[in-house]
Amino acid sequence: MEMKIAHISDTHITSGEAYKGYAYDLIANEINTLDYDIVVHTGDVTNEGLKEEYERASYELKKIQKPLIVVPGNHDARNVGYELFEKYIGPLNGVYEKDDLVIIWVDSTIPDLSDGRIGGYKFQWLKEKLEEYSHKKFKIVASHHHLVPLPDTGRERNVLFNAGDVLDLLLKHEVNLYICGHKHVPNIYKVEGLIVANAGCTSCRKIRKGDVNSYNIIKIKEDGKISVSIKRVTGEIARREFKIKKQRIFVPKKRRLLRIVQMSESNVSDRVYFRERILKNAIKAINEKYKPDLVIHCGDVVDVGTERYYAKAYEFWEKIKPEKIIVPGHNDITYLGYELFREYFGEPKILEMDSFAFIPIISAQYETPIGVVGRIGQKILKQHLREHEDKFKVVVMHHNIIPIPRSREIGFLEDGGNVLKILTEEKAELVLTGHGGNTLGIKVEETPIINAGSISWELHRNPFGNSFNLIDIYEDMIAAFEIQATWGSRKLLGIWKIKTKVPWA
Amino acid sequence: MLRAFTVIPMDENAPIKVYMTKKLIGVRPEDSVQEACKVMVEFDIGSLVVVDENDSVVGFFTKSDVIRRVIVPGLPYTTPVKEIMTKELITVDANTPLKEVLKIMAAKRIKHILIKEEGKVVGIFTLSDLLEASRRKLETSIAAE
Repeated sequence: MEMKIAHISDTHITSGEAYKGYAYDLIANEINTLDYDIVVHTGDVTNEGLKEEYERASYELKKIQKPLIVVPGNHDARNVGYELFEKYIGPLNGVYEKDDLVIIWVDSTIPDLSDGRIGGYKFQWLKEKLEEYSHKKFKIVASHHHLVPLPDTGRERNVLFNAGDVLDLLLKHEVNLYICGHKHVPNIYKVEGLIVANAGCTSCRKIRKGDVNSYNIIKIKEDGKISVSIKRVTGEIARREFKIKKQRIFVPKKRRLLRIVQMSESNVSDRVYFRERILKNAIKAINEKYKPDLVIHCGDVVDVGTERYYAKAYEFWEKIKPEKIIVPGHNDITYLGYELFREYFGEPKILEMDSFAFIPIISAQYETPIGVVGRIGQKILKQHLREHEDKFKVVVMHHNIIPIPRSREIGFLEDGGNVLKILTEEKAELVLTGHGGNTLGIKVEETPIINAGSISWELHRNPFGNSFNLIDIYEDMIAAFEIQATWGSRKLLGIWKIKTKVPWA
Repeated sequence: MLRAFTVIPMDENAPIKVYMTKKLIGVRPEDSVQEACKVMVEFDIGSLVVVDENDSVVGFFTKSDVIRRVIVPGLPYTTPVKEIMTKELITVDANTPLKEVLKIMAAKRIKHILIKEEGKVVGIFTLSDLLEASRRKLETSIAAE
């Protein structure tokens, strides 16, 4: 079986200026003349979800003389357009099946909002479909909204409301591809075993950073190889190949070089949610049992920035024996926190230990859970990663850049898309974050990203309870475990092979 | 919904691939029992797969196998793993629903089961994976002053 899929998106068909009819015709003609088996449109067929737009769209879509799946986008749902969508275009959710392939498309729109959501009953529907088609060798889920932060989109927003849960579901079910549109920026990421492919926009005038219209080409081969190409109307093609690998067995043979304990959200305070006993026990276990080379606190050391809480937090901090790094979280800089953090813990600085470099990045802003690295911060981050090119580079920050399960994702890092691109392109060996109250370990491209849950705050989202992470770095792999703060039971967050040469070993 | 061991609702119709551990830690057949036990302690795990040079899983053993097959008969710690491992592997397909897997485990009275897909071992499912939520509940009970 070999399948070739044309993935188009964001046509924004309207009689107004937004629609570029010539770009649409160019791409539609090309799709008709080339050997595509099927075409998937990941939404924003129309510009405003209006009747006259749907009438025109149904005419324009007929120009594509191939089997066509159309997914609704936020623009299609405007003005109760989701009802017209079903009338003029087709079902909002559905399943396409051929040989070893299944494509499940799901409506991620919220009427009148640009945000996305695959919530409640729809999430359950998607789960049931994934169970039903579990046996298919190739599984593609198509939806409109993006799943991981995208570069060059300005502000990170309109993320799927429950992006963390959706990502978790797709990874657990070993979906091969998540395809989407929405942001008008073409991009391909490998997220663990999942390829996340965003199509650019096929025929809308709203293009970012002076790019041109484009569509994606997906090829699926019997031997388990998948390729995704971004094809621009200028003819330029950027192609990436992937191989489905299901068996992941690690045979530890090499030396352990470093052990890190990562924690977050201790939220020291005198509030009832602060679990002092759990923090004490965890610190005891860290000092006596785990004996790491380095302890990293990813922020929210205090619940709010008062002198009393900082003094108390500092007492705990002093009890931790190994070398330590801490970055401020958004709680830490509330009220007097901006000053207090620096008075008690000092300005976060780059720490070099043998061949490791730990690069702290400050992302917290006043009085908001939304963080930002900033355009100058991004340049500094890139510069630090380049300056420490020959080291094992660990970036430490508070805000999560990968959506966290069981939390409402609102794009916690305002410029998460650009930051993620820098981290993956500059090949940071490890990224540690600590926001959202739940634990997660996911590799994007070649960079493992680990988020810490809360070590001692009752208001968390982790079914495992309060926890911290134990990260062991070997010459040939990174093994990360979540340690239940009270009982010490372990859960594997991830093991990742280190593929790069090891000048740092 | 299955609530036998946990308060986390587990979907008994979901394929076992959803619940299995997908990244496995293994040893080579020639490795000594002592080396293998060091790996178990280092990673705090109760079982290991044994893989040959072609990454094929050729055996499996648990901590209690070490007690029963090495310590009790008095074998030396240098005994290669291949001599004590279970060679006849009990496996299920990755698409088998959870409830079927639990039935098989109960019938065979085993606490760990290997998961296969397209002829290859791709995961392991362990009963202790189900105990997460009860640990959290106990934590809450002692955290409250």
